[in-house]
Amino acid sequence: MIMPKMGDAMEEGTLLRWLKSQGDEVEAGEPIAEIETDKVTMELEAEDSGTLAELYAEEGQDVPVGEAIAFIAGEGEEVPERGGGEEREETPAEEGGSGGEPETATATREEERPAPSTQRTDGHFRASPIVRRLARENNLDLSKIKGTGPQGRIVERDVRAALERGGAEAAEEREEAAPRPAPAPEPTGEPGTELVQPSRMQRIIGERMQQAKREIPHFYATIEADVGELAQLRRDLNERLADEGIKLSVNDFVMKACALALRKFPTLNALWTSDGIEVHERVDLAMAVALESGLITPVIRDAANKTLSAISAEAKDLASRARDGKLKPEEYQGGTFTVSNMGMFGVESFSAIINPPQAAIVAVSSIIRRPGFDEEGNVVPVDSMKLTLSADHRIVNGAEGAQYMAEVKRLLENPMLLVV
Amino acid sequence: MAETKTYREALREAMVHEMDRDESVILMGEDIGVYGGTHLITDGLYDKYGPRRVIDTPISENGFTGAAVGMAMMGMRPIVEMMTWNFSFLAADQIIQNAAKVRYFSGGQVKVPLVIRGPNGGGVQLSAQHTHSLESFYGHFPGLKVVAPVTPNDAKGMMLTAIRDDNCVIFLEAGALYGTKGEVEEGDNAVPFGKARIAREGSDVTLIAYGRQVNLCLRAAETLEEEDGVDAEVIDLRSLRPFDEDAIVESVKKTHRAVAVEEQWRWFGVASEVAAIIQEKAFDYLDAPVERVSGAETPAPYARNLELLAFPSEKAVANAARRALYMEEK
Repeated sequence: MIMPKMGDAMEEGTLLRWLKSQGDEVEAGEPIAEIETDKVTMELEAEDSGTLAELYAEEGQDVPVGEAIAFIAGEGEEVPERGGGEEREETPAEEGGSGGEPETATATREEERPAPSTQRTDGHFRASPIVRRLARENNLDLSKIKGTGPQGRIVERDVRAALERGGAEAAEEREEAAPRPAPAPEPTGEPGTELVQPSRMQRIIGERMQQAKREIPHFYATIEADVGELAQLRRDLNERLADEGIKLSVNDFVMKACALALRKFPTLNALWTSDGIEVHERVDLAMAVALESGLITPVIRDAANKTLSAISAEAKDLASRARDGKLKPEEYQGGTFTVSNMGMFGVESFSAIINPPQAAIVAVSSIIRRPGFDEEGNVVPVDSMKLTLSADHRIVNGAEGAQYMAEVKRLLENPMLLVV
Repeated sequence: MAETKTYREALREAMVHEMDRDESVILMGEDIGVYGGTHLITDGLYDKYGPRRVIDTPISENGFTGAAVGMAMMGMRPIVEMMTWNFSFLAADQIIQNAAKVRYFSGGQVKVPLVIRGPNGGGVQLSAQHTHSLESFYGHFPGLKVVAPVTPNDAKGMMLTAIRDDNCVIFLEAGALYGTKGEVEEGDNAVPFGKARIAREGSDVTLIAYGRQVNLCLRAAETLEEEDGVDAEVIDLRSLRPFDEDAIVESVKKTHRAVAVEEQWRWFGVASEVAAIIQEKAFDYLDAPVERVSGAETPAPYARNLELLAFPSEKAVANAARRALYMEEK
């Protein structure tokens, strides 16, 4: 059994708990361990029947994707030698060469790849321009070369020497340089303080949000919609649909409005990719769901073409399963646009951080009753809601963002348009 | 056929060559006639060509340079001697405002075929007001050509080209090298501007210089070879405007390391320009930051020992090359 890849972004998982012990007989399909990824906790099922002969990972241990975590032995099968040296440097691919690969290795073979090297650096090293050029040309991983220049700068002679030692050995795909986080201050250790380790999910969310804020040029556009009519329509509909067990939330209307408006402004329904801006026709609407351990964004597929009641039902189902940690990776991946609602907390206005690689996110606040003016200039109560768009300025320009929000406002203020 | 001559003789030979060939070529300057020139460049020419073609001027740089600009505009080909290039500051208005710009102002109708020549830089204990390297100063102005030959052969060949050029040429002579000897080609050996000379072929590091610093680099290259087994290439820029970017870029592509050497002050200088061009056009080939070796940021001292300290030394160049090679300095 190897650590499965349960999502595109997953690089490692935490083995939370063994559900079986070494030596237990297991049936194919029987859960044997709980794995925590950056998004969910899942049960790992045995792929074959046999004896759980060897556990390679301890509870709480982080295991890179593709690395062996256990060996299920068939009848008469011996546990393979795992070779000398530190276990974590082993990869299934390397083991395969020595015939030691567990035969029960994962079903997701096409996703299998060597675990990241343990010599991984943070991607920052000093190298002269010619060295970077030679590395490009020879497909060299500079992180594996020791520099002999000032402050460890890798210079031409180091690369020439590495190439002479054997290009093939050194020629491994270079890992993507990860951004180096600024060092955080030491804990104060004052009395009355407690050190809590961030969960895997908190760490991942933190990294992603930090990256998004740092790398994406955000701009913001806020509108205020008069949702009096919408609130009335919602009450009417809910009264009539009560027998069918349907209860529409304000957020369902907002999500429908955001999705519909994207039809007119598809530029915002886009992803920033390595090869360019990928504009999507279908709106796969991600909705932010707060969990105790963090935040997850399950996706309502093709939201613009779904009815309010369908969106409502799906949103409820996704949110409740999200809170139980029961979402499948495909249910929270691949969104093209996100809606984040803090209305239930009485928030008057806020702006959200873009969920990369998406182009934009809409932050939805509470409905607040405040004085406004009618057409005659009389002071009247207005049910007002603020929505703030955060958009990636590389993809969307200000005017587009503003027009999109104006369209969202028009739909919210004419809620019948969301029903037809 | 080549004959061994001094730098001084080579310059004189070029002027004689052109004065014989073209009657519009005349000489002007302080003490260049009867006295034969402070540096004896024009020695004997007064007797040969007479006072109408070898003109002694009063001490009035702005005046006689202005007169030369006027003559050039009217079809003469004057060669003006600055007793040292420091004195050209007095004539800077004529050089920069008129000589450099008239051809442009007139839409090309009026040419200014003027050569202004004289000893540049230091090394002969003439103190701050006679020891000045003006290549960056004049190199800054479009409309002027700026050249600085170091070998006697180039001194002659580039002087021929300068006299024949229809623009104002700032001819910076290696004043400290007037007496040095070298082989000079007979006859017309005109050397085109904008073409650098590879003074020494090498593969490990490129030393880039002009004027008398080229000789320093050649000596440093010998030292590097003897002491470190380093094979340095030395490029003599020869002409600073126009500038042979390709020669530098090609050499750096070969050696991946460069040292730019100049006698003048570092700030806003030729070495800065060299470094900038390398970084623009050969960045992917560099293995080390481009090193610069320049003069001390001080007016030139008079005392011999201090003067030596103020200018780049063979050791400073060799050490800069070692830094570029990630070797220990010596």
